[in-house]
Amino acid sequence: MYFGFTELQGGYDVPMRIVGANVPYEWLIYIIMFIPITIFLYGAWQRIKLWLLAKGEQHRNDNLGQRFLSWFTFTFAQARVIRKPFAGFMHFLLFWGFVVLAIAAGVDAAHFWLGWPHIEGASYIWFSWVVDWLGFLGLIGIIALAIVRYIQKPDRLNDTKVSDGWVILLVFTILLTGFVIEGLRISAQITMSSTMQQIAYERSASPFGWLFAYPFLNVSLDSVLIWHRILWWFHMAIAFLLIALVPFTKLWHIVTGMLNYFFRDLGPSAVPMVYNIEEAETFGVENIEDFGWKDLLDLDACIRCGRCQENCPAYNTGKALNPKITIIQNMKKHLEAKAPYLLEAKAAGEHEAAEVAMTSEAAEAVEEVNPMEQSLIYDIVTTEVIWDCTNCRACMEHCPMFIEHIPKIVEMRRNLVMWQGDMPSEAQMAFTNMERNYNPWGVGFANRADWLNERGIRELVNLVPEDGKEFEYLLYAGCAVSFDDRYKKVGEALVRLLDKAGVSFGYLGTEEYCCGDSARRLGNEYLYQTLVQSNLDSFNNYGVKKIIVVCPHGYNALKNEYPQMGGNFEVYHYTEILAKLVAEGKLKADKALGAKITYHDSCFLGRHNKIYDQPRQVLKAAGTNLVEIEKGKNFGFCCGAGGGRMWLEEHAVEGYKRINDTRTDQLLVPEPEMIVTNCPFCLTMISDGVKGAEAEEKTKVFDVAEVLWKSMSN
Amino acid sequence: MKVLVCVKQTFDTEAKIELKDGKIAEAGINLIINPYDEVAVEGAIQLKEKNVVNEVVVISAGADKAMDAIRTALAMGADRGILIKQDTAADEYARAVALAAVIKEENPELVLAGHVAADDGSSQVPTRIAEILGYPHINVITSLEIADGKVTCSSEADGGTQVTEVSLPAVISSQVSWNEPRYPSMKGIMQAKKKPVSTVDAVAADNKIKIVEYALPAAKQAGIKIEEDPDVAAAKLADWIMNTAKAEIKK
Repeated sequence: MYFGFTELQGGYDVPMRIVGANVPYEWLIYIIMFIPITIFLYGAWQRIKLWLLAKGEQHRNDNLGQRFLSWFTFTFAQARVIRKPFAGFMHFLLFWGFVVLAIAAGVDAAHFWLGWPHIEGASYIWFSWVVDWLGFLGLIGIIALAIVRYIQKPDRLNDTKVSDGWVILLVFTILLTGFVIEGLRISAQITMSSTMQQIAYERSASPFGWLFAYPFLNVSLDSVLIWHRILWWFHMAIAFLLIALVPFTKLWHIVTGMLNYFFRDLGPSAVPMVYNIEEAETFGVENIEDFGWKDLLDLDACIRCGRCQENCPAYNTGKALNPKITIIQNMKKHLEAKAPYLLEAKAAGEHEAAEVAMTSEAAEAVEEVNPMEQSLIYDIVTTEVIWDCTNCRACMEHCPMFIEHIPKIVEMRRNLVMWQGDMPSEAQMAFTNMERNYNPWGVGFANRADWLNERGIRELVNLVPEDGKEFEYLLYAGCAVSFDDRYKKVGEALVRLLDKAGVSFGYLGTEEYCCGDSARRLGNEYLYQTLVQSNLDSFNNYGVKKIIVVCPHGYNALKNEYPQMGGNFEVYHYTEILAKLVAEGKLKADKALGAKITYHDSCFLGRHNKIYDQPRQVLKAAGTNLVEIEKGKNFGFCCGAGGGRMWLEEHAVEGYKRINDTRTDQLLVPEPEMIVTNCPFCLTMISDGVKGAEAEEKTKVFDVAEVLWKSMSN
Repeated sequence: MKVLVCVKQTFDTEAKIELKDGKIAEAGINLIINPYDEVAVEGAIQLKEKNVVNEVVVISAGADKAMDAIRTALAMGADRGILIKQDTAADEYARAVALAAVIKEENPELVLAGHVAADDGSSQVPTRIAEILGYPHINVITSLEIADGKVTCSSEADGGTQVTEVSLPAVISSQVSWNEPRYPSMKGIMQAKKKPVSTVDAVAADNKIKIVEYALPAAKQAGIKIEEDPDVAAAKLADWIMNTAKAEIKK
């Protein structure tokens, strides 16, 4: 009889995973498989070598348990990927289809090499059923993803390459030929069975293979078996091609994704610290190889899904910055172009690096420009892109690979500011102001506590350096409350609320300094650390343990970044405290406002610190009618002032509005009576936006604290 | 070609000035490089970057603390510094004498300075230096070009600009609008630590003026706000102008 089929015991009535039936020399595949595996390993090593070019330090070998959990969750549950409702779910199907099919193929290889037994009987039916279903869902997945890329064409996929199509076709063909082969096999089995009952189990075991068998039932058995053999080898060939191609194509994300899930930044949102800055010999990142290995791994992890781009306030207002293209992909291309020189230099020893670069064989590969002479910050990423970023974290929040964009931008800013001395003049002004008067506005620091008298609340506040009374919480008012006339009113509302709720709090007045957030995020790490040290000295001097911060930027810095310099305090944003006081009944709104409002999630309270609910609870307690807008919570669109951009001029790009105007329009959609924010920068930016939209008459902009205070009769 | 820039260390322009025992209390006041002199330093560095000059020397007359102002200028890109130790009570004349003595020794082709100091605002020192050295002097310049041993500057004149040409050596004092001083990078600050700064004692010169008294400006009185309907408000305002402010109405 026909090769393969005859050797099975008991004909076809025993349900069993038939391996290699009808395929002469089937065993060869288990030898040949080492070719793609070798190519895969070789290719992987070529990529790993690029990451090892990194000179910057990055340590990601802590918390192994948590890392393992992260790897597991984000790989197998695809927890970040599925956040994108349709495409994410389709990817989930494709992923699981491939995982299960790979397991099935692995079982066959284990049967050959390790002598694992055949899967038989009920186990076979279950096993086969699962594989069949998931393979089918995988097929649906890849078709759906092709439809998204080529028919739906969302803007986020604006850099489709020919290779994207080839990869989709390859995956699709592997899955489809798998089912065709299965169909041919089942069709042959049906033909060769004496009764239908003998093979009926396949209908349960391979529901889709069964369907694929129908078209072949009228084809001659000889043709079916020949085609089965041909397609089987073809299927294996392209499957092996896929394995071999992984490190050389976008399929590499399978590996880098898992690595990124394992090695991602597990800590709270914080810019990496520069230790021993006084002794540093260079600052920030000037060359691509100055980054750390994880930063370079990030470049390989980017699958160009464009979720960063889709949510980026700079990209959405026509700026040069596009996290996907002008940051990550440009850096990746540059690394690839520069790597041969760097690798050769590394092999030749660091000292001869420059000479090697000029004389090496690699130099022959030069097309137009020598990548060794291209500047990362000026030619590749460009300063325009570097300064465009508002550090809003939308890219990092939505990246399914946990790529860390902000730290890379900050590193390049550090180089521009501290090494090149090249920065926008407004940044220079802000630095000088922070340096001389400890606030970015540049108002004399001696006047820092004057707002208390201006707002008539001096007697409500324990100004610790003068009054010297005990306190539970330190009220870190921050520069905006101290110097911004509009925001002083927010400070007043908060002080009155805390006073009314009987909270014991102290305030440091002129012994409080700028938190340093703007300095740090604009790249002036030295100035940042100087300011932090001044604050830490003050806090320690007065025995501070718990801190209430008004501005979300200061909150993020004090809570997440000060610990890098040994400042460990219990840090709260005031909205957390107000929500608690409301819940405890210590603050009761007795004249519910009823006003229709929209709420703007600031980036530093929201995405950076995941505080979405407490401000809403406070607003609800104030009796407002909060209408959620489309881009709220973790999709909140930046006001444009983060990352130190508060101090830089934003020029609208032709055909686009500025970031704050764009955001204001979103907040104005439900025609609210009030827009409520929780951040002084947002308040400024959105107030300007409302003025610009000529909606001042209808819509007022307030802070959460003011709204709660308004809702209480005093 | 060598340029010498005179810098003065002054109070931060936002500092809260308080008097103690009839003198300005220095505690709690941040000291900065006089912003006008900072412009002069920037101008000198830009000349160096254009290869018009090859050395920028910063000099300052004052207390030891003035070293910070010199270091700031060095961090911006000046090559070396000279601190002339002098009592901060020295008047413009004594300062000019001290500075001129060092300048004479250094013998630069060009002397730059801010046209005025942000603290006392007397605007005398560069002019006095030029007088002592017998150099030509251009004041409040907004642009400067050097060619063929001559320097051509634009300076602000009433309602317009005046272009002046003088031969070198000369003393030129800058207006703030000349340029935008750079923010010193960490690289600059680190390099500045290694740049040479010499210290000399000021040549003796007696003050020609005597400060009799310091007084703070009278505190601004809070404005009044009349929150009424326009007809009532107008009447109240008129009443306030006539009876409280006692304004004289001239016809």
